[in-house]
Amino acid sequence: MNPADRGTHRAPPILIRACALAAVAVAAIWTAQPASGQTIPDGGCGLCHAELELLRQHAPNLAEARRLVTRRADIDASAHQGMACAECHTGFGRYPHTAGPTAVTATCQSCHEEQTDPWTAGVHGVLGDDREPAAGCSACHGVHTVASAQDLVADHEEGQALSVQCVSCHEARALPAMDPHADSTRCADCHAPHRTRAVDDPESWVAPALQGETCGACHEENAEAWRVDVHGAAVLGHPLPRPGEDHADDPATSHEDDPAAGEDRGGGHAKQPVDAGAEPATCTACHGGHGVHPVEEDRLAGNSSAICEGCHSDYAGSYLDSYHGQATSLGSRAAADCAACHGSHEIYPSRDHRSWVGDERLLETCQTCHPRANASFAAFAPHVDHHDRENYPYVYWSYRLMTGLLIGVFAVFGLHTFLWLGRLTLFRGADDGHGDGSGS
Amino acid sequence: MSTTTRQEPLDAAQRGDGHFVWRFNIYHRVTHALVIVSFLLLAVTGLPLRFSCAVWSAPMIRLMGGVEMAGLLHRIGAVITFVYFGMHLAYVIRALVTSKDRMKMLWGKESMVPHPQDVLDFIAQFKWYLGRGPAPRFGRYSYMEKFDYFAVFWGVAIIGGSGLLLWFPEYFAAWLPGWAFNVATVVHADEALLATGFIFSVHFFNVHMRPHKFPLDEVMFTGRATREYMEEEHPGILDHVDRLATERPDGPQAQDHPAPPPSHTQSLIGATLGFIALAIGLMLIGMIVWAVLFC
Repeated sequence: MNPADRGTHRAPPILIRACALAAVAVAAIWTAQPASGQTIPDGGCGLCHAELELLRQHAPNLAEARRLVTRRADIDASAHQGMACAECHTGFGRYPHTAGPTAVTATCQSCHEEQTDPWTAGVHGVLGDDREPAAGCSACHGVHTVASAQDLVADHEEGQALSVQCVSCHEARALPAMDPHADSTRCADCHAPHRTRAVDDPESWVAPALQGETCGACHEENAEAWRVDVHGAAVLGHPLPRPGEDHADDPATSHEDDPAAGEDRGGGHAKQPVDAGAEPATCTACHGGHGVHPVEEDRLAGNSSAICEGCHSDYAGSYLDSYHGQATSLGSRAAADCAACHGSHEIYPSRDHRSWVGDERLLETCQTCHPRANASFAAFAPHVDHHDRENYPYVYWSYRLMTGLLIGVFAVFGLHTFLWLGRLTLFRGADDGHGDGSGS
Repeated sequence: MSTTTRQEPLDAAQRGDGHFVWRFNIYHRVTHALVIVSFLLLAVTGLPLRFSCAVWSAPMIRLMGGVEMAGLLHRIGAVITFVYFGMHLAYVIRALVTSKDRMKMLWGKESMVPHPQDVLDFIAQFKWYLGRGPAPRFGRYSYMEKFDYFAVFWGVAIIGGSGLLLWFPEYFAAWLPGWAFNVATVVHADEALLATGFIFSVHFFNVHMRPHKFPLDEVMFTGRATREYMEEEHPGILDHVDRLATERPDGPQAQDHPAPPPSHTQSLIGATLGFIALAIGLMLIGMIVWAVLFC
């Protein structure tokens, strides 16, 4: 295509565009936008930068030409609606552009310091070997179609959410469809929009100490309860109040100082309340992070021992030896699991008056499943250890007796059987192979 | 020992020569059938819970339709057990009351009640094993059969009693302490392990698996055995059996009296039921051993 042809072809659109430009300029002035009404938004840039074919003549290659194409409509549909090109692209001047030292593209920081500052400190702001950040503003927000936080939120339904941007890099971390968060929660809701940190960073929103805030933003009631229960207190480093005290602010009441702290109900000294090296009992420790099950089919609903045993192996062991544990491990969801008796977000040591299994509330807890239970019923030991003579003497001795009986009977009759078999086979004598002993 | 080469019948109780002798009446056989059915049902539904840690327990429970269904079947097995237990208590009391010779029921070669001769027989049996003497001459019931009988009696009382405690804990908690349920759990599980382990190994060997009996003794299904079988197994009452055969050749259908041979159909039914029960029992003992070793 020669320039003459192009001229004849292109004249009318240029005219139309010039008129449109004038109209926009007039409109801009007349409507007098107080914030940015002072300039013609694209200052004539669109004359060239809307035209791929034109740019192609001057750009070194097609890819570069494509990169330079910018549609005013895109900008006006974006969060930067009405902004002039020169507000970001300063010092370019008129065409032909003099690529001097003044020709720069202003960083987002010049306007959005509040967002870029935390971003710089976060994992995405880290500069790589190529001096490029791991994920710049445009990686998530786009360039000319720049999306506001609100837009990223609003677009969620159409699958254009911020999370889609995240998943374009973090493919393996996309939430599976069964996760109830997949429809309702953006990556940034849990991982922070700008000050995103690695999950093991103590300042990450999903770090143990901050999960109460992060998850609590939506699950307020649960987080509130967890914060003061035995798990939350351990994670957050709160002292746990002594029985009868609801406030944990007095350091003197720390259960670390409590001589009875290690004892459980019935003083099962042999059982370790928590395994050594157990991970902090955060929200995700029990519920998982990506791939949380909906509550109604949660592993936690009716089979929490599968989770709890990760840290409480002694108690899980004695539970799995009991009817409750045996039935639950074989699929029953009617038999009590850990949470049925201990609660889930309001767990306290049994010596605490708020504990579901403490003296004050144990019977009530039993009665949720066994409505006619009485005090004697509640005295049943659900975490019995038949090796513990001191605390469970009746169980210890009945176990001993039964084991003795079993061993005794099988020893005697095992011998009886094997000798008989030997007598009738290997040592089948000429005298009396029949066993009638009559010698007939 | 018989030196003939004729085909031996499958049923150990039909082997050898001589006329047939009534060994168990219809009441005994029906009760024993109820014991088999309920015992296997209880074992199949209870063992997966007892060994919930074993790999076979979860698939087995799924096969039965879940823990709740297994629990229901277990309770049905329990009800059958309580029915035959009650039936048997009534039978024993009635027999004692109406017996013309009560002493014979309680003592001697025809009695089910253990007496010192059983201890002597037990010792004699071990001596015979070691080639130090003749085999003991058992009466109508050997010490093994008496042990089996009283083991079931004791077992039903212990397992049934502890089972009731665990079935109706709220009711029993009205007059039992909390630890009673802990003890009941231990006792129920271990006594059940003893019962199943014993029946599926020792009882099966004594009655069906040992040479001269293998693969099946149908005497408890057909109710009768040959005179030669009696001579081998219960020589102690042979005089009594022979006297009855001479005195009352077509006597009543009562124990030790002469009996017609079991029909082909009766033998077939006995063999079918017997082999099904044996197969289930052997499978279960295999699973128990697996669980004890690897759990």
